[in-house]
Amino acid sequence: MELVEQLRGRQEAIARRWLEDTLATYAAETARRLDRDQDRFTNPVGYALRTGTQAVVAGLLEGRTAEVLSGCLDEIIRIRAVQEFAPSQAVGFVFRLREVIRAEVQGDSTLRPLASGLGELEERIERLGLLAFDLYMKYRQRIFELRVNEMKRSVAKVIERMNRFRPGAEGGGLEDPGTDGPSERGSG
Amino acid sequence: MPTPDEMAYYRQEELLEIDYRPPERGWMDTPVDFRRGSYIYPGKAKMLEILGLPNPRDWAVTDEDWKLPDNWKQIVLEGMAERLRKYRSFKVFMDSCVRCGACADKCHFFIGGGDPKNMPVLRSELLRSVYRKDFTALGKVLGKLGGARELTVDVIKEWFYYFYQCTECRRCSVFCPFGIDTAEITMMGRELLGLLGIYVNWVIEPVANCYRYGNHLGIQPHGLLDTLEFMADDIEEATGIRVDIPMNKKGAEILFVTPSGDFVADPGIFTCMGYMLLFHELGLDYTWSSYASEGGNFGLFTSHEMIKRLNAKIYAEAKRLGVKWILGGECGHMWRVLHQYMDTVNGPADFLEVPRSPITGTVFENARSTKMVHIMEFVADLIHHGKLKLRPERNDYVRVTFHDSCNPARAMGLLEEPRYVLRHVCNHFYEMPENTIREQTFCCGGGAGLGTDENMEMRLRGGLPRGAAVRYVQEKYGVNRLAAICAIDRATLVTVCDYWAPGVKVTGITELVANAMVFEGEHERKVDLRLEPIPGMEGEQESEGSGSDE
Repeated sequence: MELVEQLRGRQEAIARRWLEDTLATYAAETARRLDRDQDRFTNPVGYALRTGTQAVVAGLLEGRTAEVLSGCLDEIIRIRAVQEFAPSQAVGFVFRLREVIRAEVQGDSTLRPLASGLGELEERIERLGLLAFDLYMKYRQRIFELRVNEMKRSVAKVIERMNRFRPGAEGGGLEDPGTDGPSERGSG
Repeated sequence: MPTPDEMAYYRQEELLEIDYRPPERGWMDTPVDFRRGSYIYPGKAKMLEILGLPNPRDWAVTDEDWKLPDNWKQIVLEGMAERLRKYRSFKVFMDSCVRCGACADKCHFFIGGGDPKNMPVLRSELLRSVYRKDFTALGKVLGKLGGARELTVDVIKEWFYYFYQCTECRRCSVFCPFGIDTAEITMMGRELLGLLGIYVNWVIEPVANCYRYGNHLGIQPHGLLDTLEFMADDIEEATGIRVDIPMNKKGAEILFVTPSGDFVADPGIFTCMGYMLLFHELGLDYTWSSYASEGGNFGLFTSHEMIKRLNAKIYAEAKRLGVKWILGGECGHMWRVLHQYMDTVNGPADFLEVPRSPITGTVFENARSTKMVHIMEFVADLIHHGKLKLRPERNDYVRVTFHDSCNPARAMGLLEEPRYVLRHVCNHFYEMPENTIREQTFCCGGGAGLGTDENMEMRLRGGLPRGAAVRYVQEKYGVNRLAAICAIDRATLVTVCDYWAPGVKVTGITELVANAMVFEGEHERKVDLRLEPIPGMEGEQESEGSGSDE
């Protein structure tokens, strides 16, 4: 696929354009700061967006597996799942990569004749969008699990204590009642 | 019709015409949008009634009508005038900001979430704009041009949303060239909201509990004793040692006060068990108090008056029990109150003695005025004098990093002692990146009354900078434990780690101290204080411990 090979040589420019487009989903002042500070610890969102978009573009053009691409998207989606976005906004930036690549092709006379290769690339981007949706749901689910876990932690010890002082516990009393509740692995 | 395979399908003019950036709108024209997961539920009427606070009523944040008193505006403006007179710092902070932006990207909520109103400068402007309009000549004349705006119900709602998205961690103030303490601005904002009966329940219910029972959880004396006995059982199972629980012991040398968060939930209880073991081994003449059963003080998140009301019990109990000085456990905001307010609001504690360690003889000159010593100062001094028999290899399965809790780090400069202790009880201690620790430490995202569950997304956004640094040391050094000397941290960072750095557990430092300590008469230590097997120690042979590390 000649187009993809050509685009590989411009993947930095594509990733940059996509990053700018994604930054535009934040307030203007925020976007400027996310873009400016290069420190991964004082600007973890900007860092994740920058490195994540680069990795996804590279992976996409190299035809990496869904698993690899999902890994590249993971941190960005984990972040956007807790930011104040509607679900469509949180994952919508992925689909914008289509426009970014179209603009790249359209803007260059040497690429334009290869435009027939866009169809397949866009299919890959659509699949990427579905991966983003899976990740988004995974993290939303986790948020609610964490809420439940906090509640469980706050009562577990109290119940354990109440059960410890049960009658007949000394010498041939009742067996230890279960206070753990169900767990995913069925152990512990 | 062209197909997607043909270039004509893509019309360049159209692609280039579309600007996806949202139109820029001034912050004053951007009304607050209450999002689930970002706001905290309001204070219940019955809690306000218990405390004698104004305008008790049940309401919801999403209600159009917040049932404010008819003269709400007058109440707020008079309240503001009173505070401008009373607190010079408030007046200075209102006047002196030049909007240089040094603080703008220092707030964890802004860093993680990106809402411009979480830039500390803008959060302050929410209040400052009203100050300009009603208290400065220029603002009165220039109005919006001069950054002034009318106080409206929407402004009140905006205050509520954003002053409860500030953990009063004071990271921004480290970077302010004028030394403006945004935490104090948030405190003022919350006080003004309080005049209208606007509180969050996660703060005001613990305050009501503390006012009646002495602690945030409302644990009554028999309940407290029961809880500590329960821990004594677990201690016995882990070590074979039965510890005493001196309660309300008159004439004891030391009163011990710790946050009640350490009485009930994982992992705080393991830290509490650590205190009990440590004091037992030292043979310390100390006592718990069933009334001063809370070191924390959610009054700090309510009003100055409430700080005083809730704090008063500590000196009162010290006096009633006739102790010589006070020792305090691992807590964050508790130490801001004890270190910076207690002496002023409820002192002088001239009936107490300057704290002196009965084990080493060290006089804690730094606590000459408050008469209260931090457990990390106390333990670091013990280790320095070789008074603890330690086997740090028992903690070899722990690869630990240290989170500087905002208040001990920034409000009392307690930076070295916890590290000194950690290095002596653990062989594997790794620092997080420099710009995320010590004075620049990132908040857990759940302090100042934000540690509830209905605002989980907000907490996780706020916890991102801390979480990112934890994950970095997890990936680089295999860190599996995050130590923190704050009860709120021990509750909220568990969740922050589960989201941003899964696999890292949270611990207090005294828990690790007790796990490393060799106690007189202990049985073979096969499990730690969590009653979990100690890897490599399942069938250990007792060998000589390292008495002193100096």
